[in-house]
Amino acid sequence: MTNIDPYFYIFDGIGYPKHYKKIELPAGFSVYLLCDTQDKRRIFVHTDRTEFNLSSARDDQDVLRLFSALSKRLTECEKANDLFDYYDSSELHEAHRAKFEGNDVPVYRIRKANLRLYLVFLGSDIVLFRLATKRQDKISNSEKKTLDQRVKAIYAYPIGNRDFLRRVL
Amino acid sequence: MSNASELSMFGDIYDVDMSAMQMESIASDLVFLLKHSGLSRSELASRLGWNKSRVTRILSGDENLTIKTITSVAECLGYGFDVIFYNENYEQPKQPWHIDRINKSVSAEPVHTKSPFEFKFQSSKDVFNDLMKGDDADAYISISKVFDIKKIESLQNPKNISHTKDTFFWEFPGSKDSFILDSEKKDKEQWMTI
Repeated sequence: MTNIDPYFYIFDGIGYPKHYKKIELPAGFSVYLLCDTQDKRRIFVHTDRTEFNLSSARDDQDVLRLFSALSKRLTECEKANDLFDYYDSSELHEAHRAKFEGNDVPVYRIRKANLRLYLVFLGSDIVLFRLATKRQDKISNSEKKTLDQRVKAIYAYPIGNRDFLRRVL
Repeated sequence: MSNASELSMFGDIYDVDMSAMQMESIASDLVFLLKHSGLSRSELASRLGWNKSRVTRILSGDENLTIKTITSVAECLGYGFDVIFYNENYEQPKQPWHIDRINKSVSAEPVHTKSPFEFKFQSSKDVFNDLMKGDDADAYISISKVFDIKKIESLQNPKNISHTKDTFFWEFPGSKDSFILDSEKKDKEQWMTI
């Protein structure tokens, strides 16, 4: 599995183009979308969606619901961790521990019907990096590999001095 | 450049049912109202005589909300509700939690008798551990030059620090370097290396 060269897009709007609504987050934190190139079309949650969009109209509709609720709840958070106040533990919870190079990073997921949106808290910020459909109770080994690979990419640049911000597009 | 709508999370290349998004929005408002009221989901369920699972379904947006359901929840929490219409010409009214937040921020306007900034020195490992725990600071200054530890200790001397209401000015002894932090501009432009 090759290493991902990470880039980050700011999650700042939904509904483009007909129902576009800007997401105004408080100044205390940002939400980023992981991408593997400087091409916005390669943002992972977009490409993930494209993969299952063809197979289930219901899943596709639930993507809208998931991101609609998330964007609204984010706008009421003063800091990233406040998100836990607005979701039940059955909806937002730790789902996996990504391990790489001695690091042990908690991976969280938001559940909506059959969908799972995976995210990590990167310091004071949030990175959304995987959108998947749940087809079985446990996370499969291949899914774990995907999560680990992407989390590793998120942490490819030191977060202590926030070097990763240089990769924000 | 491809068609921009293909980039969209909610682009019109998909068959979008806007009522589904509206349902999520209303469910989220009920979540905010519950938090604003200081009740737990279990307490709400108990007061309404419902199973907690029903409250969970309502607040997660998984149940098609009826006016009867919204009325029950709102009244249980001590609120009425109405249907308000808005667009780009008519501002969306503020919710109770927005009004409280505004009032709180006005009444909590700080009196700057001392520095509005709290600071401490940490190693990169300490910072990393704090970040991993989610216990991070609002801003970090990174020092990449090899620094004499005595000079670092002397930086903690308040004489090297001055401030106004919104800015923080930090001089480095024996050097022309200095750092200015503007509390009104908490964005990535603030991150700098000396």
